[in-house]
Amino acid sequence: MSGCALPVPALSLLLLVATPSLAEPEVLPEEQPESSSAPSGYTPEEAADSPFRVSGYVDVGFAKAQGRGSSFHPDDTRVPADYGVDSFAPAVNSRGEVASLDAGGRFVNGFLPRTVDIGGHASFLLNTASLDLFYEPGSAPVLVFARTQFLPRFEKGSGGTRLLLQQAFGRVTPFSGHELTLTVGRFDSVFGIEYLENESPIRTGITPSLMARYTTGHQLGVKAFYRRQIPSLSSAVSLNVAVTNGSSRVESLQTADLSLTGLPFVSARLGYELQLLRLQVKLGMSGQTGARNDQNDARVYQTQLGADARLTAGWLSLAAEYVLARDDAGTAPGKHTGVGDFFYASRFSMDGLYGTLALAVPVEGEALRTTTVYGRYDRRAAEFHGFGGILTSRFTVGTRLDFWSVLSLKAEYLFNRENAGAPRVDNDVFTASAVYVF
Amino acid sequence: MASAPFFLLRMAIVAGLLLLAVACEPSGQGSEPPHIWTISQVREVSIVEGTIAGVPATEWVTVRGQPIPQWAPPYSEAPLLQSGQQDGLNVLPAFSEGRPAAFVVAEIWEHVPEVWVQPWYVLVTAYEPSNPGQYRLKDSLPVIDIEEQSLFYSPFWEVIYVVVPEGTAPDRYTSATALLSGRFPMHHGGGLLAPLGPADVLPAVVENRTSPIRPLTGEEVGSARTGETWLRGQRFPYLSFGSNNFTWSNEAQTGRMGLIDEAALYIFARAGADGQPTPLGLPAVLGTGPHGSGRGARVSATGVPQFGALTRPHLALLPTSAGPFVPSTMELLKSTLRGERGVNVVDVHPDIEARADAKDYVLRVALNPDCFKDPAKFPASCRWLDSQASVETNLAPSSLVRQDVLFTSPVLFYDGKKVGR
Repeated sequence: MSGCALPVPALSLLLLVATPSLAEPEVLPEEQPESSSAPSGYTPEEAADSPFRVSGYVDVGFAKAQGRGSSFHPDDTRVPADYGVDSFAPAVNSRGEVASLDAGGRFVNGFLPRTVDIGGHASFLLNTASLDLFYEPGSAPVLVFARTQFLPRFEKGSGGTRLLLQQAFGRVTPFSGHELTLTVGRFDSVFGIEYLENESPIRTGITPSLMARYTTGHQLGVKAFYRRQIPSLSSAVSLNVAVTNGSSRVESLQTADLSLTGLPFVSARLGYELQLLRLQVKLGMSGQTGARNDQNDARVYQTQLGADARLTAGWLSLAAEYVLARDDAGTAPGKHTGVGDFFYASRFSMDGLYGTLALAVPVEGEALRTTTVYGRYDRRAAEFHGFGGILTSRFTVGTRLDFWSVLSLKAEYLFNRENAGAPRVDNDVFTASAVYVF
Repeated sequence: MASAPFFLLRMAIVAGLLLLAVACEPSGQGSEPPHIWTISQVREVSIVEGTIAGVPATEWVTVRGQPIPQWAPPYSEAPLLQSGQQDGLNVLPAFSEGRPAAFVVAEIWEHVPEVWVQPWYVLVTAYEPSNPGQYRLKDSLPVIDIEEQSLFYSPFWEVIYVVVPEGTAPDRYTSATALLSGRFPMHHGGGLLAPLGPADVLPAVVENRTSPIRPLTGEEVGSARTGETWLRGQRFPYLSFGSNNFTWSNEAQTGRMGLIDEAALYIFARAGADGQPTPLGLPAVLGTGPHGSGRGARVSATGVPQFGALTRPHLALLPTSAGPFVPSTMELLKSTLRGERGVNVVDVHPDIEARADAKDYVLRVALNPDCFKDPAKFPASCRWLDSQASVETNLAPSSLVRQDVLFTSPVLFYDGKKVGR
């Protein structure tokens, strides 16, 4: 396959973006794009007149995992150790970091999350200290945004403390009457819906789903968002398109920082919203394709499809997402991820889903504003070529208390299950989190 | 003049088109993908007389009823045929540590840099360290968990004895996952060399003989036995070349744990008409460790070499003065080497040919083949290239060309003795 194969859809997508400019501008309600990057979800209140704003949050956690804190079975000597288990299962925080990645010295091949390396011990954790900088001059429809995160970690097994420039972009809203934004830089994924909850203040629970590794990574490149309201139907449709270095996989799987193949990755989500007085429904279809950005051959493709749905009715909210992924095999040894260099990019297939049900009850207390209980079910079937598939699932239950709009206390329990193909291990997790926003 | 928003949008489109232009640049590395040629695949390629890694597959596998290359002209006056009962892995003569040796090439790892050991579970009802297989669960098959199609497939297994309850049905556990989930006691055994492959491909046996023999000298060499194993609920055939005939790394800190230790295999070559190194068809030199490692030979208490099962070929470019020991009984080979291959072949003195141990020198290469003329000083005066140390000492580093290939190469003959069953 030549390097020209992909750009045809890319061109179509660009033309789609260009199309609205040919029409007469329409006056639309002022709304933030539902999935624009930085200010989406967690957006601090407007400050005074200054074009500069600073905000952020501090996420302090406490976690205890069963067993050794990892999904690796102590007697399992198969290699690569990370192919026959789900090493992402024992997550302890909103970053998806796991309690342990100790595979007993066995060879692993780079299908790994990051870890806080607490093993099976209970420990307090400073999960994230996040600082957001905004610049939004009144004279131009431009937003400049940077999010810096401090991640204190013990050096031994976690790779050490990191200072992360998680997002940095400029966003232009070229038409005052249109919900069209053009963004250049490093931004949130456009695939699916879970990326909207990347940051712990806005995530209802604590840990990401088993699908999050495929959809919540950050991407470096350009993206366009367009939404058109249809008032007569109380509806809106939206299109979010990105051309980036890599996919929406998290950085421990694929880097966003550069293109390893020279071929851009194209991602898009088409959304529909129904906005009624007591009912809100949001549906979406996502897709992305491009050269695998964990190896160097532009002929090695990765494709991902997804469907998502959200429903909000009164205190009740439901969110569900399905993801299907197919990765071609590399053509030469060498696999390069955010956590290191590995042996080989194997052919891979995965499909999975999750569904979250939450009940958020407003409380008229002086301090306590909302009490939320939630549950989530995850299911993931994955197979590395020649290694045999694994099927895992997870039940998550938890509660969240919001105080003064500044502090959230959360606690949840993860029941991880190895249903087929992976050895049963003790890797359930209890985790709690206190999130302060400023 | 266009308004600012239109200008921005045009800029975006221009940027997009630039991206497209970049994307249309020729891309991809153009390198050959890594591939493991299994026994089945090598046989298939041999049947159609194809090549693997530039070498005719018939050099490694002879299908039933066909002439065995190592027993065909110019090495033998009349060709000998492979047994009609099975296909054969050709027995390849070699020298190792200054002594005759022989091996077969069962699998070829093309552009695959490393090979790992994988677990091979054996079910027992009790564990006796002095004889771990004593209480083997009757009629049970071993269990593995890696397919030939995976790049992490390995014929190099670590035997793990799993203690299951008495009375367990022999087909109760047919997957590694079930065993691990059962949380049974597990005990590590030694290594087992057992490529997965069809049951009708064994070391080559000449028609009307019962066991494989070493070309050039006719000594009996070891063979293999066939068996079946469970792989996620399905039975797969394998070919066992015995145990404790390789080693692997236990260096957990360096990330090399489980890596099979490879040995260099020096294949004598000479620059061909096109300037490319061309193998001369002489017995290879089987090393005892990686090229340049200086690792000595490791041999088990029963005389089984623990090296050579995974080899890395290196083309060894011979100086023009070097030449092999070719007895007068191999006139056709002598003329072929001198003519087609441009090799310096010195006539061997009759008294040397008459020595009882003369067969041990057939096609052994000396840097100074004139020593073949002097019975009084033979063999001490010869500077042989018959061990890893001698090759690495006597040939320039630039003359040893590493190949991007590994062989699964069970050693069937070492130090004058057959290895294996």
